[in-house]
Amino acid sequence: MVKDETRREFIKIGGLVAMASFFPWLKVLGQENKSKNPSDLVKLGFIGIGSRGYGLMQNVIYMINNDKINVEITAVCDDYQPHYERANKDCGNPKVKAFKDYRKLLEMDEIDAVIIATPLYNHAEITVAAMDAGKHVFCEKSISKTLDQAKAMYDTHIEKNKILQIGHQRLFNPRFVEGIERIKKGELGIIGQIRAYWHRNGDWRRPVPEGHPELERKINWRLYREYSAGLLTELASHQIQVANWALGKVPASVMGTGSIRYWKDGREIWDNVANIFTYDDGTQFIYDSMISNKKYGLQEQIMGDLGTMELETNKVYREKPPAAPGIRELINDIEHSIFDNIPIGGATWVPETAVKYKGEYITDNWEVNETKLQLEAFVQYIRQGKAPEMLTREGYNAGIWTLLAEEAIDTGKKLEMPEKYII
Amino acid sequence: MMNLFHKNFFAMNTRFEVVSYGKDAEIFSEIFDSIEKSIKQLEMIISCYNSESQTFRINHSQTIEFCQTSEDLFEIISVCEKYKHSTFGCFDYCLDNNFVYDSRNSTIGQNQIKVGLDKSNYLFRFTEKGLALDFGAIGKGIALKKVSEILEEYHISNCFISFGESSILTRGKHPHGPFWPFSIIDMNDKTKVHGNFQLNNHCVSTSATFQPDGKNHIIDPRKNKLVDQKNMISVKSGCPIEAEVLSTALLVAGNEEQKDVLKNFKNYEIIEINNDSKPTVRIING
Repeated sequence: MVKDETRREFIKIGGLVAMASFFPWLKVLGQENKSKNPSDLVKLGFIGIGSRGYGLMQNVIYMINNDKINVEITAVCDDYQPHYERANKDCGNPKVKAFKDYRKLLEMDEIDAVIIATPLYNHAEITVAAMDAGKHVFCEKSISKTLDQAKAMYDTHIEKNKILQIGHQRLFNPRFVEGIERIKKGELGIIGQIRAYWHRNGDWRRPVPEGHPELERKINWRLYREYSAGLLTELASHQIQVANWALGKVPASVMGTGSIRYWKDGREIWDNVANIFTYDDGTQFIYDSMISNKKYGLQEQIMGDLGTMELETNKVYREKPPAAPGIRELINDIEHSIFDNIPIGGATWVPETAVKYKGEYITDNWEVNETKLQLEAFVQYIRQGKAPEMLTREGYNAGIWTLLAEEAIDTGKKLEMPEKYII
Repeated sequence: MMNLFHKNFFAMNTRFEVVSYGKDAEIFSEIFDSIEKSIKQLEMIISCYNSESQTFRINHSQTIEFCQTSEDLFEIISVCEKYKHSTFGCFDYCLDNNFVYDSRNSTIGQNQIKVGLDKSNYLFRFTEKGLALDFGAIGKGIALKKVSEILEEYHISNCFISFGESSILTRGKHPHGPFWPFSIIDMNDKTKVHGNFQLNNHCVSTSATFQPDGKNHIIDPRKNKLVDQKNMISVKSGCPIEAEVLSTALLVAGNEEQKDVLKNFKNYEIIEINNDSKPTVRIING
């Protein structure tokens, strides 16, 4: 466990600047082509301030108050009265403009960018309208409810030359960044299989105000197929993004199955799903999610012939131990025709004090607020006038394959990515 | 090209490494697989910690009635009995259960006869409860003895094997010299060399009374207490089991008693480092 001091120190001295040395998406920072000076005030609008949107807003408020980042929450928007009132009250700006119609917010010329955390089904409509209105966009994952919507969002981003960052925050987590860099350098050898799962035990419902059953679908939109693909878009999309990122490619095909096994309460989305994604090199990505057992929790296991990484718990397990330093010297000497002492005699080497080998930590810096880091990056990108294209592509491809996974379950077919969605 | 071969694996909570040369990679791989299999099988017999092992089951049965063991385990126990006798009990394989599993001080009484053996039927029992089998002071030596038999079977004439860096087995010589030149290094300062051995068909075992964190961990089985000096001993011998047994027994014995113990052994070289204050090195040959 990393001590709090370490974590705080990392956040304080590290932040984005220190991490830019190994975050591929942060290396763009400091490049030319700035649309604003680093000190310029960035004006943000928040659209959708439910549980996730409120959390994002709190992170930005923390950045304003504690990190003294020059950002203003200029406007907020939510069409649900309690969220509208809460956002208006808690946004930290007494002069904030509050709206119930996002189109009014987008009419505000001074707003540089919007943060969208609405239900999935209207991500696309709002994102496209925002970019048409000249705003940069941070949109929560998953990118969209349909394939065509995702493509429309991507195309608008290209056409309008506006930032489109999808909220896959693992892209900003040091343990994921370092772990995947090491995977790409070959530390795990040839990846044969990725296994990922997200298990919870709960009904996944949000409380509906008493006496207002008409609000059920609005509040519990995640449970209805009209608005969401349920576990796939709300949970799996993160892990599909990680699998694609680790392998540096998108799948060649997906098949799957799903069911409502436990929560037979009128919901339409599956409470139990399983998919297999196959990549062109034969790598299999085996995924499952359920919400009636939480023993195994959340994990992504990347398995190669030299080792395994479990990214959620920051662990790497080697198939073979590292060679002893003295043995490395011996091998080097032999290869260079040197006859020298083998400096190895000593007490027994043990990987840990524990009896069984429990792996090693990928990085010490693993207790970070990745959500805040991705928002910090977004602000920097706004000042820069652009974001690394790979970020957008990661979000797009994760979303597309999430939706193909849904369709594979629906149709019972093994699906490939239609040509028109390839970017 | 000399066909240099290096491979390693985890076993007995440490790493086992082989460096060899002069044969085809395919043959080396076959030998390596055979070695790995043999050591993993041994671990399933003598591990105190693996709940599937014979030793673990016996320890947790705490049997004072005779129980059946395998022929392999009984043979290992018999070898241990022999070395317990020749080291005057400085080496022992049957210890207070509290030391083995909890690193706590002894709570049971002193009894020189700790086990009962029925050699004709491979039966074993503890003489009192609270005891446990612990092959930690001999296990890697037994493993290396098995490895040496495999090397012989495959006619491997040049090889350097490290088992956790504390137990070394060599065959033949370094490809660029007449022997394997081997250094004993300081536990805390890896750049500091305390002494050297020239190894051909030799083994080396190194034991220390203390761990890298400074805590003492070697038990005097006759007194049921930790050895309190800060010493490290390396023993060069032709036999991996004798090297392993002696490196621990001599730590327990202390300077005077060492002479009596060593009368029962021959063809050894010993480097002893006393770390209580400024490290001093003592070399004993016999």
